[in-house]
Amino acid sequence: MSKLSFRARALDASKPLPVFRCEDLPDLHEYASINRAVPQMPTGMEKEEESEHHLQRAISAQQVYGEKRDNMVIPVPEAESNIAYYESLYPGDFKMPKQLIHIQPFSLDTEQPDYDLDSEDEAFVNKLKKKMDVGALQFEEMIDRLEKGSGQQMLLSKATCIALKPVTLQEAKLLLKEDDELIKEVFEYWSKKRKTCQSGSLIPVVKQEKRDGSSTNDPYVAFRRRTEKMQTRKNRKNDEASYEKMLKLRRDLSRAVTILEMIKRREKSKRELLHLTLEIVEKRNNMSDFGGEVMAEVLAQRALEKPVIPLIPITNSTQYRHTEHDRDYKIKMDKPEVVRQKRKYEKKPKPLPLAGSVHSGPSVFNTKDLNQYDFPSSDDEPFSQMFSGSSEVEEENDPDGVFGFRRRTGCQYHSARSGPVSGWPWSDPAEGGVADVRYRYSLTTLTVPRRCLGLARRRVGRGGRVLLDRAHSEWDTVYHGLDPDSPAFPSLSPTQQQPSTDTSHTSTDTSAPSATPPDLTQILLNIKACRWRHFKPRTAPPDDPDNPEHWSTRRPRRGFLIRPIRTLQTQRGPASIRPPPPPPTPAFTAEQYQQHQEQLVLMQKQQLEQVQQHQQTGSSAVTNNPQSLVSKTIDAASAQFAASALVTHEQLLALKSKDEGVGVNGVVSASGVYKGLHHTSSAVSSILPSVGSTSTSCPSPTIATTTNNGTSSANHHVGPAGPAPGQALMGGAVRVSVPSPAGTLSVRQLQRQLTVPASALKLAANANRPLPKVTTGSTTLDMGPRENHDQEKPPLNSLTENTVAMEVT
Amino acid sequence: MADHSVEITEGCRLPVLRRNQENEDEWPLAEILSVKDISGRKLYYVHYVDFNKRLDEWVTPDRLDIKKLQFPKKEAKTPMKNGLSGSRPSSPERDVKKSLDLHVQSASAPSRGKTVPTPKRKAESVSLATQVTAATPVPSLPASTEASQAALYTAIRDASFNIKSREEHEPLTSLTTNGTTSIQRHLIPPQPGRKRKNCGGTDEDSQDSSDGIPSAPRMTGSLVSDRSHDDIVTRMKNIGCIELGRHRLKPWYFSPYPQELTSLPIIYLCEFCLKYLKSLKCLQRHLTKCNLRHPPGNEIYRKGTISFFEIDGRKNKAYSQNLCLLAKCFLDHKTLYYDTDPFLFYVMTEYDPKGFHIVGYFSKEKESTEDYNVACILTLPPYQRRGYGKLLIEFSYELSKVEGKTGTPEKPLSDLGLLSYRSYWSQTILEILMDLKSENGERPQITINEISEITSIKKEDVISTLQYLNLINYYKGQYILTLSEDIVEGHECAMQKRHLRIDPKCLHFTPKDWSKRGKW
Repeated sequence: MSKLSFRARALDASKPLPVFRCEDLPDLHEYASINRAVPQMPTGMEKEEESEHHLQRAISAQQVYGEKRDNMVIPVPEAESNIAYYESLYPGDFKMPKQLIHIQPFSLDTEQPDYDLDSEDEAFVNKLKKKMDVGALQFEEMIDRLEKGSGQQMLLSKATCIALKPVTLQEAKLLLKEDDELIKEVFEYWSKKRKTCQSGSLIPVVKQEKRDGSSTNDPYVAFRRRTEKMQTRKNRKNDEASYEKMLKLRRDLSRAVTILEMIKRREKSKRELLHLTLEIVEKRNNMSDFGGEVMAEVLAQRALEKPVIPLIPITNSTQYRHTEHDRDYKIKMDKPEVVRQKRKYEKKPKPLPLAGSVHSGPSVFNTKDLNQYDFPSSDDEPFSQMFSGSSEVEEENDPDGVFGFRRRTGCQYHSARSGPVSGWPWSDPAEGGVADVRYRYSLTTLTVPRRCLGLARRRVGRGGRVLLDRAHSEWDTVYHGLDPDSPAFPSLSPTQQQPSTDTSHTSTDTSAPSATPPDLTQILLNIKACRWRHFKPRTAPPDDPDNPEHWSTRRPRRGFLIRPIRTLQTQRGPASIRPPPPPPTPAFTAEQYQQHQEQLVLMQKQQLEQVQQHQQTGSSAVTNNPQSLVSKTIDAASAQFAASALVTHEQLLALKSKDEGVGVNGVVSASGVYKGLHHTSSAVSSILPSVGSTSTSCPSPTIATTTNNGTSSANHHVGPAGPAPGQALMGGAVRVSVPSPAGTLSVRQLQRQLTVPASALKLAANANRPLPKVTTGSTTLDMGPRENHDQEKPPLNSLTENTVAMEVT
Repeated sequence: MADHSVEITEGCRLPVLRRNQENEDEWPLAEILSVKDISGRKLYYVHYVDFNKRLDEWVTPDRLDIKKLQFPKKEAKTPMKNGLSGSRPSSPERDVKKSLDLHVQSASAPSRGKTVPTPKRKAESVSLATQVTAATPVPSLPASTEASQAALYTAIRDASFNIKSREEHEPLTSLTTNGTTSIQRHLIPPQPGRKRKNCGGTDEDSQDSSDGIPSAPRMTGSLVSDRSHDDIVTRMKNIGCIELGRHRLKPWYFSPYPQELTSLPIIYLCEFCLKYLKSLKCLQRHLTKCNLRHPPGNEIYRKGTISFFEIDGRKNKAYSQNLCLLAKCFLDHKTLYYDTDPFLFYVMTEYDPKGFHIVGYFSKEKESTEDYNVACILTLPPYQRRGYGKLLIEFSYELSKVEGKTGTPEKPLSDLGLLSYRSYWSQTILEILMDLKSENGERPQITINEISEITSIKKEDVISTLQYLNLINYYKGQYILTLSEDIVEGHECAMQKRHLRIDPKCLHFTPKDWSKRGKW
């Protein structure tokens, strides 16, 4: 071994090293031999590269510090720096911003196409420009979409990478929003270009890894995703996300708890209401207040005590709620797990709903009521919404939160009908309807295009629109051939009866003896007897142009909205679809309507007098005399009313208040009908059917359906035909619940004049309204509208007579 | 000159005419990597042995000296299929060599060149094997002791063999110390791997690479040092020319640009978003749509015309990937195997009225487990040798200073990287040493840790620099730092030339704690 066998101490990084200048240490060289004791640190280079000639030369050159010669520089491939077109290529107008540049997130996501036009494309676009309007950018966008569209499919078929499936023309059309011709041109160009391009994509992209791992060693595959996490323990981001999720979960659960509590409260209220109702009924039973007089008196008294409409049950229930709520709230506050400080509960003075707002059952809110629902939703503070008293009702009825239905001021809303929708006046009694005469299918002719539609019926749709339902029958071709203008009908060959599908007809017509045998003569008879009608436009009534009673002259039609309905409930065959004719709309002025109303009132008065005479014999007499009633049609009239009522609601009200003084039942009830038409189609269906059904002497089932807002016990008290219509109307009237005081008054007035059966009275009690005074016989009520329709009869008859005359050739 | 009767295939070695920097013709030995036939004329892709790959090129047959043709040695060379060639040893060997070279190097000055005798290698392999045996768990304690004793014995024997073999090749000077170190190392058998790793100090765990199963590279860092699975494709430049702004660059290495673009004579890059385009027409079209006039990140430094932009590799993938593709053209060891998510990119730009032009960049792991403060670093060729590289390095250490950490560049370093870093380290450390003032008449003194703290240069790099500059001397029983006249003069001269400096006051940078913000 060497003489210098001692070992130098290891270099201690924390030990101070004195710094000397070499000239200060002349004897340093004596120690030079042990200088190398400090182990050489690795250079950090790959060994075989470290030995490269140029590097070694450079290092050795640098070893003599600072001395650098050119040949000691490691040579690299040259770079050129004078691109002639550089100046023109890049604009030279970029001013250095004063502040440091800060990139806004997402500001880089420009919607520019990735595809860049090449010279070949430019030639194509220029060629295309001659034919159609296309720009370079537009072209790029199209190609970009196509490329990206097929790129996805490329990804799907990655396993079979060679079989690149480009988009088809069909898909291209979906991808591109240009006109078809341009798409076709570009698509063809693109698919051709793509085929010749070896890489498969016109936008060059770095190769991506394949899922099957076959690309592990492909040198052209880059930027693979890091599938494995380097460290799993430091996953704070995950924690954050899960914390947020937990927060959300807690919020949702607490919401659910609140909703459940509210449901509980609602059900309790309902139960209490039921008990109260029962109590009232029992008390009345004990008092033998079967007519409801006592109740009415009591309610009237209460009404006097409180000049504003008394709302005993409602206020009770709200008070109950408030207390209950407060209790719940306190309990909640005591619970330790409810960490969140809830907003102080403000007990808003609840605006007392007017007489119209019924606790359960259909209700209409007036503007005052509506305002209370106009509160902002605050998602961040779920409790504020839940616990603000004003929102209780809303929360109960509508727990959908943000997505829930919100009331708007100025709109009237009716509550949803419970149970399946049935009991339409046009549907079969078997289906819960009343099969009203007015909704039977009749021959109908349109103004434009002027032709006979075949069998159709009219009914009032939403917003007072009149819908035409069309029915298929075997004689459609014949019907369509009918010339509406010619006075004579083509041969209306051996007809069947009114189409079998028309259940309403059959049900109403059962009492008509002549209806059953289906031969031509019967048809003719039917037509003559006005049992079979043909509605046609008034423009050419050649026989009777001057007839002042003609319905169409009196009431020009408003535009009918004709909707071909493929399958109707009662219809077996599909109706043929026709283009809807443009509506022939003569303007319908308010004056005309007023005039008409006055006429009506007059007529009704007359008719009522007659009817009241009949009534002496009892209501059964009415039902025994169906013949006179069945054929009466109110189709057009009711439709007109529905439409006109919409327009002239104010007039109507005025009219009604006028009518009050008259004190004639029929008139008032008629106006009630109008109100019903105005407010809701359900009101129509509840009132009008009652008329129809009484006429066919099968009142009970219809009543059952129309009084759907009443308690189930309502029907127990249904007497013979007499009181039933009253009840039905009652139901309708109750539902009407007028928004304006005038309306309320009139309705109340109306109700006082009605005979109200016990069940209806209960309804009224539920509704918390003054009890209607019991007046004369109940049948007057339904007679009114009926007589009204009697008035309509002559013109209609005359019309049909015209058509019948032409029938046989 | 070329003799067409002999078929020159891949793997053959022969002298190839090359013009050096002084414009002199040289005939360095080169290896044929690839042969292609263009219209009946053969072209050979040659790698000059012991020259950097960036000088590899396609040559015509007339530049080949056929007479001195050496055919590939079948037994010695690994087949080309695996991408392993003579100039590139297989990984297990290399690993062994790495740990071995520690001792070799300490004995031999770098200028003396490589001397890697085979016997040593063999010995080391043996000792490796015994280490493994020793490390394996043995049922009973006595047996275990026995085993370790046996291992110890072998280790010592190997070491002595080692010494002996080295004696034959190496000068005598440092033999004893070397031998001692070597034996010392093997005397601690229980944790051979760790010890070795500490000694090696370089990078990845070398044991793993011996299994021979092709696997995905490690997921940390952006450089590959284990190139054993390299495809021949990646050893050859695939792109002829890149046009970037006003510059045309000749790539040095392979880069995985879309393959269809590699056949083009020029790939056009948008100067600001670095998007690659196949033609000038496309570039023109692209420029009508591209609004960028600076790298799409936040400017965190500006002084004069020099700015630095920080780009998040996860948030701005498109730009990061384009930047990586470009950088790969000039960085041999850079890997683009994985996505850019865990990296931040600091792009240095120079402003003129056309915009902020990219000069160079470095990437940095958001979280480094190995104190790396730079992953890849590159000054674009047109800007090289003008002080920008040092500026980039300086900036990277400024960031580390703000972070309050010491840092080191990811390994392996390239030749240019090593030179640049050494230069930076030297100047930085010398600056400190020269500025040291003596307090109350005593010698100024400083610890290595202090230097490291002041500069944010990792301790090991400080030591290696001091060593490299030959500043550390053992004098009268203690280590001292000595500044020779040459060094001082050279330093002062170099510092005069160093105009570009980073001004820490212009840096607006708040480090993010990426571990708290989730993975990357």
